[in-house]
Amino acid sequence: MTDVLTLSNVSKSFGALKVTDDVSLSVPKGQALGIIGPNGAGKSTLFNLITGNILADAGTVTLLGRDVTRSPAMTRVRMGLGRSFQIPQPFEGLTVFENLLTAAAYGQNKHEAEVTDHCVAVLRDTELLPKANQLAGSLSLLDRKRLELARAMATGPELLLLDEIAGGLTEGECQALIATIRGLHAQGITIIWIEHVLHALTSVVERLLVLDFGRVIGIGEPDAIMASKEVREIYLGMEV
Amino acid sequence: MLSHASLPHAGGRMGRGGILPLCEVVAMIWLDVLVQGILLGGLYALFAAGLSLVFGIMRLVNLAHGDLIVFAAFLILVTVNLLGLNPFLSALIAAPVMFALGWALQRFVLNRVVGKDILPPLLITFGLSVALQNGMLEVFSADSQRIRAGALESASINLGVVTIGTLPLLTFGSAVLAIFILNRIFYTTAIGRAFRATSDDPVTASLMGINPRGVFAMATGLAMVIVTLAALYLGMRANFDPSIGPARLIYAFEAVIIGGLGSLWGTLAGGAIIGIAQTVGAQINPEWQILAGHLAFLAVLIIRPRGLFPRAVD
Repeated sequence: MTDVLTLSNVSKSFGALKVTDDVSLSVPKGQALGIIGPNGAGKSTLFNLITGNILADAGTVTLLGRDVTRSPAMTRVRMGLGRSFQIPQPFEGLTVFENLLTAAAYGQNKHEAEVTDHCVAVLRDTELLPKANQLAGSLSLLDRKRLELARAMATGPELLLLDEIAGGLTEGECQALIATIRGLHAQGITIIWIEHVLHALTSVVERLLVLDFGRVIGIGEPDAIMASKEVREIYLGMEV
Repeated sequence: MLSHASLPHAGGRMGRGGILPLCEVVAMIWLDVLVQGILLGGLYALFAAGLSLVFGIMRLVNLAHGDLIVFAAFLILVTVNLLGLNPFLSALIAAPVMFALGWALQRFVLNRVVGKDILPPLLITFGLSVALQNGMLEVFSADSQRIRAGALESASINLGVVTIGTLPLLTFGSAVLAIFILNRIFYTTAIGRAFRATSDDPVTASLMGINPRGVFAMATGLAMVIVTLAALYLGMRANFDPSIGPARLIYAFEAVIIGGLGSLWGTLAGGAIIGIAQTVGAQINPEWQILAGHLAFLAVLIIRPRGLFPRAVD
């Protein structure tokens, strides 16, 4: 199976603080990988290194077989990378549909007319179609999270990065979102998902990675990882 | 500046049966002042639209904006003189040159300093303003210039109640058209949506495949096309020399702030308010023209510090 993403010995420091420490990782095509770790473990920084919003101090990032270590976010997105943010960041002055249209046209480097149908399909998949003409700034939290997902999908990603997309939702809303993400995964999209809501995460992902102080301290089957004493100590902060 | 305001002509107007009653003459004079003020506002709106566009998209205040208007006016003048073209055709030639200049200025200079801190771009554009003024002084001398527009300069349309100068009317019409087109670009085209998305959040925009630096360069290029239009009318309506840029910047700035930062139609309203204030001031006492414009600006600032049509999120 070909790898969609490979990180080789990637490190990043902010001043004296090493936030990503020699991380190596491969994600095969079609896999859903979950990332867990305590607050400040460097999870979002890892996403920023993958998207190109920050550049690595050392190591290489390979996306779809191409070295993108020094490439800007725009290039990586056009290659097939999509990302949602932990705190939803819709373009508030644009309607829901315009948010998607912009993401699709620029993310896929196509004319708006060519991506309109795709945008409508994504809106339907994410249950946002009835709100297509609302200003994104007026959406509820669930809908903002849906829009995060929808906008990332609109760019036509082969690799989708989800950053704590289930956080802050009620159980019912969370289940609805999980169903949507499962649907995307079933379409063959590779997913990397950072999440604190563990039951949501483990119900979708096939592999789990644990990050602490910027280092990978475990990677494998979700059940095996969750059962590991080291992981439980570090991640849950208690002896069991 | 006095040349911007066409003074009212109502004094000599006669009814069919003889001299009009005094109160009617006074009413006509003030109606004339109001109309001339609104039309003058069109020129200020043109000065301001480019500034508003750039500020709205990247929160960058271009202190060289007025000097760039003067530079564009010289560019049109040179084209008129060298090629013997009509000023409007010359502006058509100058517009793409100014677009390229704006694009390159943003791409190679301003993009390096644009960001959270507003001070570096202010310093850079202030430096550019000084360099432009001195460069133009060296090349074109301090002599006052004017773009000759032939019969258009003195042509007017008699509407019975008031007489409107064709050139001021064209200026106002161009301002309305320019702002209408800019709004269409903003709300109905892909690049317009990219402008708004990048204005909202450049980092997120880059994750949608948008190149914020490219978008910024396009925006400044577009602003320079509006600058060319402003320069065309400035040059045909008034004398200009290399030193008048900063005052144009101030009128533009005032119009933008009165209208509400980043709101294009607000900019037109802001221009009209300054225009009306100036012509009213000039009507009372010719020395008060400029002062009256600034006082109107101060009044709006006191009553509505965020301008008349502020954007909801800034």
